[in-house]
Amino acid sequence: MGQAVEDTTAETAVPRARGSRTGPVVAAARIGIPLAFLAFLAAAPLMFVDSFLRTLSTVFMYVILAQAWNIIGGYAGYASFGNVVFFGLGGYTVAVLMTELRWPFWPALPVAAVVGAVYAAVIGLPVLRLRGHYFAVATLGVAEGTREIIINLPKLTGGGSGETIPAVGSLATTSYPGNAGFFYMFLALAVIATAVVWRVSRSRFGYALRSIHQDEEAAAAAGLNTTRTKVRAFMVSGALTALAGGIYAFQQVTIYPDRLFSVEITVLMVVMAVIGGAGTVIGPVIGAIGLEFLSEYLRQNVLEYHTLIFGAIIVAVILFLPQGIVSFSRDAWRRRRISLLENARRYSL
Amino acid sequence: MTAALQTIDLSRRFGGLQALRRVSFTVEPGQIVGVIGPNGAGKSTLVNVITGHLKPTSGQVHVDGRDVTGARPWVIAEMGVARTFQVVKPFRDMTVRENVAVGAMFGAASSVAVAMQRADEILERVGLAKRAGFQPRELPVADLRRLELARALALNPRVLLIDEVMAGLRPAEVEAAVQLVLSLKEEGVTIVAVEHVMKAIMAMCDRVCVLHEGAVLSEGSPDEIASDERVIGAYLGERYARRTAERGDA
Amino acid sequence: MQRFLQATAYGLLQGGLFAIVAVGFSLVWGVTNIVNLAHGALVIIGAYVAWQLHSALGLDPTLGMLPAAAILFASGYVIQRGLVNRVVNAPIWMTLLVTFGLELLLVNLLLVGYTGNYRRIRTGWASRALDIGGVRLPYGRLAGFGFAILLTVLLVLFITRTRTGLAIRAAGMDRGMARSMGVNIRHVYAVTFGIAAALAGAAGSIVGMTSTFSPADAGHFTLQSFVIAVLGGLGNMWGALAGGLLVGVVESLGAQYVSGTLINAFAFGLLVLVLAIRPSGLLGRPFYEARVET
Repeated sequence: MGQAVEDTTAETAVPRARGSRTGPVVAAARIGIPLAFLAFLAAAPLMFVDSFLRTLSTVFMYVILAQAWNIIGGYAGYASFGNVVFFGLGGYTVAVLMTELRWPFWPALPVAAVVGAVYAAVIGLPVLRLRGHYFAVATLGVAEGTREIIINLPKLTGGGSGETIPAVGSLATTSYPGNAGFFYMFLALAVIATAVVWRVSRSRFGYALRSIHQDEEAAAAAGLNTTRTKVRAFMVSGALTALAGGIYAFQQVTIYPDRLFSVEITVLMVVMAVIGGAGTVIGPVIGAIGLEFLSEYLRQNVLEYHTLIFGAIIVAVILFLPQGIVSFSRDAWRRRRISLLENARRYSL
Repeated sequence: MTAALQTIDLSRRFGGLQALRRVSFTVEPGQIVGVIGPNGAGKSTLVNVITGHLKPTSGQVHVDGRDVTGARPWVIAEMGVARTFQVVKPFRDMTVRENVAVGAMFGAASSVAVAMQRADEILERVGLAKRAGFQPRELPVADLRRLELARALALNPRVLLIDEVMAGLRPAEVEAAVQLVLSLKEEGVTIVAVEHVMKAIMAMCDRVCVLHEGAVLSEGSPDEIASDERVIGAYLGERYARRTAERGDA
Repeated sequence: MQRFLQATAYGLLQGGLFAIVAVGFSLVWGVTNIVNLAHGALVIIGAYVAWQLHSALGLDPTLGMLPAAAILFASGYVIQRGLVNRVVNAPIWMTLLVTFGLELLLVNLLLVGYTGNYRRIRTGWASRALDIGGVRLPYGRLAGFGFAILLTVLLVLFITRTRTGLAIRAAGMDRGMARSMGVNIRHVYAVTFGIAAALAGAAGSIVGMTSTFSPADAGHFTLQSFVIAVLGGLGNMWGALAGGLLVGVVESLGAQYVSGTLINAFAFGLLVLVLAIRPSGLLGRPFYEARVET
């Protein structure tokens, strides 16, 4: 080891270190609260009415979608606006396998994940070379184009008139799980998706994604195979999204391309992840829960103006909390002050 | 002995601009070679082409005798060639320690924990240990340069390309940086230093290569270069060079 | 052969209209690096303004274009200055989401105000046509095409010959440097957005004159503008015109010869291909890509 260079920094320099030191109470709470929450949720079908269970199922479905997006969009910084393509492909894989090939649901579901991952790799290689808006538009184009392809293969997919999975009676290969069944499926997958993101955030892979996001050139110069890393992230994202699509398809029984490849779903998952906090573990969960309940509430109470108000709220939240609820809360907690107005100018010109 | 780094007739054009014209130079292991030249001479383009951030229009790059022309940046990094960027590119939302650890994690392939340890060692070496928990936006320029260098060192490089690391530093800081570079040479690291700061070039380089308008203008020891009429002409104008030569100034 | 000529002619005329819609979008994207997802909504608003002026005052849409453009210019300026400027420095998804939220707002306001019924502006002359060798060229669409060329020329002149135009180009190439040179970036960005909105509004009145419209069409115009902007190169005015014509002809021929929605798949495939191979567009010049941002 050579001589250490004389440290010319002032002795009194105080680093504002990131991350607070957590005492044992907070650490316990960090594990305890989510577990308690999960236990509570596990009992949900016994406590809540069917319609509420269905709402919760949708919430968890969006948690999965938002977390999957979070990996490629939040952590790696590649804001995909076409992730719904994996949702649709996953759904159609399950539907076609169950309908045309008479497969039961359980073996069909993993195939959906594989299809999602493979498609992500195939699409990812050319498309992940693009940055920023170009990438977003390209993924949007892929999603729209794939939908059109599905529509134009009616013998396989039922085309525009949709595909119906035999779910009841003698033709059904798997008995229909019902509200409680789907609730548990979406809940389980949501937990898995969040666990995956949690694991990623603490791992070498997480550092890889973040360094790509923060300075891709420097990451490459530091020895990171950025192409392989991005494609991997995209594949994980695609697989998770496809699984959600597969479960959704079975739940809906009859699926249509316009619904399964809808741009609205893409935008919703992005908004939820971003408003909750892209690049955080808990952010997409909060975003999904908050926005889905908001949407339900608006739909129940002011149906005609539901989309209008929803749009206005999205704009407002993004303006005042551009870094997402989670990051904002952390910063506000650290600095012991909350100033939305100041926050709104954060990214101002 | 195979050259640590060698370029053969390296050329690169951007549309109408020929940024590099058949640049050929060789760096022997353990040497410190300076690359100087007026602004726009192509110095940073050269570094970018060598390290794989740009593909050459023609020509070759060899590292340790192996042809790496057109290889992606991480391949070059894995071969032990590290670089700094002229305009520092830290990972803006990571701490200083994390920034350096990333270099150790991928190029040198270690786990997060091992990489963090290595980062601490390197930070100690470059004098940033006290800033380990800081964010890049909280650092002054000299520290940012150190950070850039530290991250490159985390790769455990055999060849290090430093791009104008001395720019904007105070004389004391330049001196410290030169000492650091010389200590790296003692450990067997081959160094290519793109620089404007002449004091540093004269103090640390074994050989100097002068680029002008994309081509190699001259090569030799620092003293030879300093008195080369063509070099003086490129920097200060041909008339000045001629007058100086006529007057017999060295 | 007849069908081919008709489809091509029709496609060109349509393409001119698409071009006016897209050129503003492309300008904003190229200069400010903002993808305005609400652009299509601005077009529809223009259509409604022209429609309203026509039903209330009997104003012909070719004249109604002017107030529509003016109103939209002012709105666009305010939107940029008050809203979009706030997220310019944010990660890309921010501007996309803000403009998307804006689109939801605008489209739904229109739905509330005017319902989703399809409307058109019935002028006496627009549907009458010129007949050249059996190819039918409706006057309305001819006028639209003419305005497309005219507006593109005016825009190019504005961008290249006026001080504001110069400021816009400077801001597009190097924002920090332009700022140091005394260019008021906030104002310039707002003016750029305003111009784009004005062009969208003008296009909207032509749309109202030549076909039916409803708030539901907004998204289609936006997506189309994407494709045209990418094909023609961001910030490239002539490129947008060429791109618009190309898309118009392709869509028209496609509708004639290929099964309905497959043409869309081709269009998207083409878009992805262009992005993957030549992101600066078929006609784009690299200099906007080398944009330096501070």
